[in-house]
Amino acid sequence: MTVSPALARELAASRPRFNAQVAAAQRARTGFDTGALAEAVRTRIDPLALAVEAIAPDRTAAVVEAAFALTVTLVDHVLGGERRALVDRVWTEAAVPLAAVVADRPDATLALLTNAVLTLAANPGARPGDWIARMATLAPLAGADTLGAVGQVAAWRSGMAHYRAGALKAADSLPEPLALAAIGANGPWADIRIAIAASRWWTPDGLSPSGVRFGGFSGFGGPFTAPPRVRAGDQGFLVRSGGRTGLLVADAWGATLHPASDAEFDDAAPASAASGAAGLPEQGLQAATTGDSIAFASPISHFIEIRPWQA
Amino acid sequence: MARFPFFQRVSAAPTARRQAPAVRAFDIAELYDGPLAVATEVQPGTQRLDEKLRQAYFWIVNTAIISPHYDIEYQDGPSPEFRVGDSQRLLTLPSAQSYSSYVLLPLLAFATRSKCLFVGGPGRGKTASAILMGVLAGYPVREVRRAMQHGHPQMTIADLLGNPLPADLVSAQSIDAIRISWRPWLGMRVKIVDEYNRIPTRTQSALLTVMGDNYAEVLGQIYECPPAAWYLTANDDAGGGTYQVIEALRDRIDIVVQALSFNPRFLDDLVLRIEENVRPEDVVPREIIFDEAEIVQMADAVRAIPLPPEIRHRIEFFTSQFELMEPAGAIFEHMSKDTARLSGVDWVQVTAADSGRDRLKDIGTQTMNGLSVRNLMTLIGFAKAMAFFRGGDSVTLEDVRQVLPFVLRDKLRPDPDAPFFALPENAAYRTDSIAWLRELFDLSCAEYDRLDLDRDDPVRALSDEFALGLDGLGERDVRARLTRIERLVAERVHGRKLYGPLHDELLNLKYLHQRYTNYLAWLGGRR
Repeated sequence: MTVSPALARELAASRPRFNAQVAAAQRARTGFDTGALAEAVRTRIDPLALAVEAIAPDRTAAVVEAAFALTVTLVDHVLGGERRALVDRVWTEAAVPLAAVVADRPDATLALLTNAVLTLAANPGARPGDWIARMATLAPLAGADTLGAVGQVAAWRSGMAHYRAGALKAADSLPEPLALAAIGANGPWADIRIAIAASRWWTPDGLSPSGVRFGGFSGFGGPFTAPPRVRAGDQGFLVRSGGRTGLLVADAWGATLHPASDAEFDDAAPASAASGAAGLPEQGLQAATTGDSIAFASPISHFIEIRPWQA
Repeated sequence: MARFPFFQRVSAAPTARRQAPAVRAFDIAELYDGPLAVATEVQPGTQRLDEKLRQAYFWIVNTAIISPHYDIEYQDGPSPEFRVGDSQRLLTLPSAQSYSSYVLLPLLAFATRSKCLFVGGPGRGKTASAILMGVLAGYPVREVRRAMQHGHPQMTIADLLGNPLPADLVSAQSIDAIRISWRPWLGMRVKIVDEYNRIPTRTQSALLTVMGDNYAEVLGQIYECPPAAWYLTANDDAGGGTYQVIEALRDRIDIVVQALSFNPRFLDDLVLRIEENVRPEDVVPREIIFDEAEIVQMADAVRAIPLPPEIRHRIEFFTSQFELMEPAGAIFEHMSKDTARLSGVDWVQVTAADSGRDRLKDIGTQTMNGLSVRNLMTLIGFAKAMAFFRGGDSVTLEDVRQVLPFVLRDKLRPDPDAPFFALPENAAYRTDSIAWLRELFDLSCAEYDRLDLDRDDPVRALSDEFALGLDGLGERDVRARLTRIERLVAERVHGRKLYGPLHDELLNLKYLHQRYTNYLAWLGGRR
């Protein structure tokens, strides 16, 4: 394993402590993957140590110590390949640009970034890659005190539609330039805020005309085992696919599916026959409408299309 | 048993599948829920320090020190009890959170910045425990180790406190101009003296100055030490060691904690440490480390825990039991064990003259001395610390009962010739001083209850009346009060044996009588 001199120095300085952590992890879990740990030290911690060394060398030791402990914990959790790759990405593509914040609060920042990307990955419809890219873009503006709110707004913009209300509140807590950057808009924040609150289909470029597309066959990594049926609910669309029911929450920036009960689906108003969903087969097309959205579902497709709608 | 953080992980809540709620409240904070604990930066003053202290306790007891002895027992309702062996000793399975004295009491000493002595045989973890306390105060392990003072027969005052700078010794024109290179440990918030009973007597005196008065002196130069928690270790607390420990130094120690025997059922934990080459002091979690401001804040918070009057009265009653030694004084105020001790007369000779009282019933006869003001201050301080540690709003009787034996061990000396110890069922109390002191307090409380002093204490009523103040009190009222005091004294002494509490009551009545008498004289002088 070849690592930078900065990391090598810190690893050597705290060798007994790090060894103790690894030994404890090995004792706790048979099969603790030391190879994965070594790889993570090289791919995740080393770039971070270099970045911190460049801007705050007196904080390198603290960052390495925190990063090592968190990495041991992550290896202990045996993350799957895709999730592990996401963690690698968030450490190298988001944490490194955020090196100043990491240097300030290493534990909190690295844990926050890691947990957030894994939460996004666990939500069908969310786009963790987009979130990482947004965080990297916003890194020059974010500080230790604002990082949490910035991440929340970025998560909403990366497809976590159910965070809409919370993200707006988070944006309110940010300095205006940072709130605008996080939303990706220009102009007075007060006006932008009113526009966003007025329509879930608002984007900085105007109302989204095409809406969002959600779904996919579970055999190809999608959320549905069978073509879904949709009904309109109070908080979004109720979806039944195979034996499972979910609540689909959508807005201009994405859609996410959440557990719902069969009773909720049964109590909801049935969809009606429809036409005009560009991305879905016309045969047997059904549509359900809420106050501001319409969802199309086809009996021969695993996808749902959700668009702006005015009753 | 769980020993290291990885072993302590619990499943994240909820462990049962949730039913989908009818109306969902999507909490954006959940974005940051995940496998890593998001260590949010705690604002100073926002974290409960009692909670942090408990976390420190549980980390030490679960991870650092293999001490599966829960000898500080609290009950919350009925607890299963078993009588064991020929001696029919009681084994209780406590129904409330109970604690290991070996871990808890040093922590309470840390919280109150007191002086704690670890005693016990070699290799039982006394020094390791002391080092842990240093690490809890925020010092790196290496610094704690280097600052620890190791008692040895050749230890000089310079070894302990510091040396004059050689250049100054040569060039200085006056003593004041000689600078001293003070030892770094003097400035630390946790001070550790290992094997203090191996320090030569002269150096012990210098140590006494630092312990007692919080400053060090070399060649007329003074170093003011910050308030600190002290941890001393000794293989033998009975005055053994290379040198006899001077009494004043022993008296400065607030609490004595004994390292109990190792339970071989926990040998696997030792094996684990050997295999992992882990020393607990190297892996203390940062979450339980206290900074300087927190230590100050915690000491203030402990002091602010109230001691309710009904608990205080029981401490007063307990304390009253021990000082009286009727044959020792011809003057009423001088009838104390201290008078007998200072006279140099043989103790057995004095106690032989103590006849007429029920020496079995009088718990005062079980000791060779009474309690000093310092002992009482320490007892109250530790009772408050115990209440603080348990998250209580005020000190409870059980808090006092639990800390009292550890505070008074080595302070309240048993009289082995007392009839109490001659009873076969009390034989174990000769060797188990903690159990004896707890029994002593229980007996005192039983007597307090029998006398119904919580509800019927006329002397206290008079004291309370006096405490309201004399301002505006007329001569007639004062004379009426004096008469009541005199009547009460007459009533109290009529046909009664003299016991410790009565002695103190009478002294209290005399005090009140004197204060009213003086006030009366002052009123007369104004006319």
